Amino acid sequence: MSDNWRDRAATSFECEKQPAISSRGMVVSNHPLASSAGAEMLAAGGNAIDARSRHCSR
Amino acid sequence: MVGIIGGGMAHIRLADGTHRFIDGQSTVPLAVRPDTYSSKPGSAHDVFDTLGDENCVGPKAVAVPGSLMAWCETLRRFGTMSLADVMQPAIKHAARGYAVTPYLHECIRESAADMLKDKPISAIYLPNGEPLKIGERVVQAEYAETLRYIAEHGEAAFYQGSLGDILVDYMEKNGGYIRRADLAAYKTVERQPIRADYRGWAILGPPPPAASGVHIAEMLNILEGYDIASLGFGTAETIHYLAEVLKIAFADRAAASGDPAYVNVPVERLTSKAYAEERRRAIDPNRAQAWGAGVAQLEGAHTTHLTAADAFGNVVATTQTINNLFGAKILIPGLGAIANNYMHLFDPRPGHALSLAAGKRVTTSMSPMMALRDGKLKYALGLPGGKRIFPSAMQALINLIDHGMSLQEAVEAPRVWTEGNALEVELAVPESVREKLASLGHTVAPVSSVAGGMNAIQFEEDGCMQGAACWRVRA
Repeated sequence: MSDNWRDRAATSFECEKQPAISSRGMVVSNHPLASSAGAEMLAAGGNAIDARSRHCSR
Repeated sequence: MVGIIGGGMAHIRLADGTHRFIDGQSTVPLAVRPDTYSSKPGSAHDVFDTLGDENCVGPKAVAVPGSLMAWCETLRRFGTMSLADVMQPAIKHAARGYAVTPYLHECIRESAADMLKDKPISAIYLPNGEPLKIGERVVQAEYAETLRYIAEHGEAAFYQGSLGDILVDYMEKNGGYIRRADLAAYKTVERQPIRADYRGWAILGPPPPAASGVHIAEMLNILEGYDIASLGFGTAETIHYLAEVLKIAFADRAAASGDPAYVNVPVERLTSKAYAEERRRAIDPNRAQAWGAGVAQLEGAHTTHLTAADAFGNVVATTQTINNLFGAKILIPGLGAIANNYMHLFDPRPGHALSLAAGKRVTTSMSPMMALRDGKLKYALGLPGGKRIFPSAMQALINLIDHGMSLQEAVEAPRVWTEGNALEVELAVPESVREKLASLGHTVAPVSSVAGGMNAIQFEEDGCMQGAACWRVRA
């Protein structure tokens, strides 16, 4: 069996977005302002709990 | 959508390798009884609509909020920064405004009829009666003031102080149920994860009152008996097995999910390999079936997910919501905050696992999941989407573990969903596969998307992290 799942797939698709790579931390959300608010906390020396504690309004 | 009058839960993995859930789910106000609302005549067993939509739109639909307390407690216990510091970005965006995205514009358009009945909410989102256009700014000056006050005085300003008074006054004047005693009595709960062992992986998910962890474990245990990797992604065979386990999980969920303080959820049985074996034996590879609950009946999406990790080894996957888009479609004057409509998640008919009871917590499908291999964290993920959340999170885990997809592929891959009626398949599933599924007895319903945008982090051996978000909710 090959390593590529696409060889056995009956449904195909292409990804629309690109992943992000990092070595010191990562914040992923569905709105760029929420992700950047979290990243701002990491950049200011905060940890992952600080980064998720931004209280966005949507 | 997220707000201080909402609820949610966070899955936290600390640098020391321990996991915990902080349950900030909403609760039923003390004044509410099992028969407070009247079920709409003719509603199916899983439809919780009520006369006058009282549990869905307006002040009576609002459950006791838990989100603000959970955020503040979690920050104090596990964070390093002050509340005032972490709230700055939110205060800035509320005060200065942010541009309306195509998605938000669509959300306003969909909810406009109900929102127009409430002047304070329509003043912001539907100025002159028309939805804000893409690129126009949403400015929430009053909400910014509320957030500033909380930044200075902490969550006590809401649960014991003047901000709570504003909410309670509004509820008293407008027929809502939340009172000062509800806010004063509200508590978060720390819980331990539900663990499933799947093909050598440890899958950690939320315990009751969330339904997701238990039923993801149940579904994975059943699927472990099939060679999903060989059957292939998006084939009729694989989708058939997914559909059958989804229907089994939803049948069991309807019978036996709820707040463990009120109903006795048979967690051990539902998550056992023996129960999975029993259920698997009843699955017919050549025929779709209708499924009933395998455990005794118990007697009496629109959400936001964020995944964050730091260089120290702390990881948070958190899902937050005010339940529907724009919650109860009301904005509380003086707070500038939109209220949740969590009461719609309770069965308005007495005598069921999800029936109303004073103080009872919301049962949720939220699935902030983490997957470990040899004790090391490999994936953290989650998404919004109501009852389609945990089936989608389960499919992402299958994509990663069985199909060996990349993280980006796994979050974007076409999904399927059913709770026993039609089998929803996303449009990328080709006609040939849909026809084969129909021939097995499935009622196939093509849909543009199942649930919302997933986001996830993959952790590499060398300490690097990969983050991926999906096309489904376009920001």
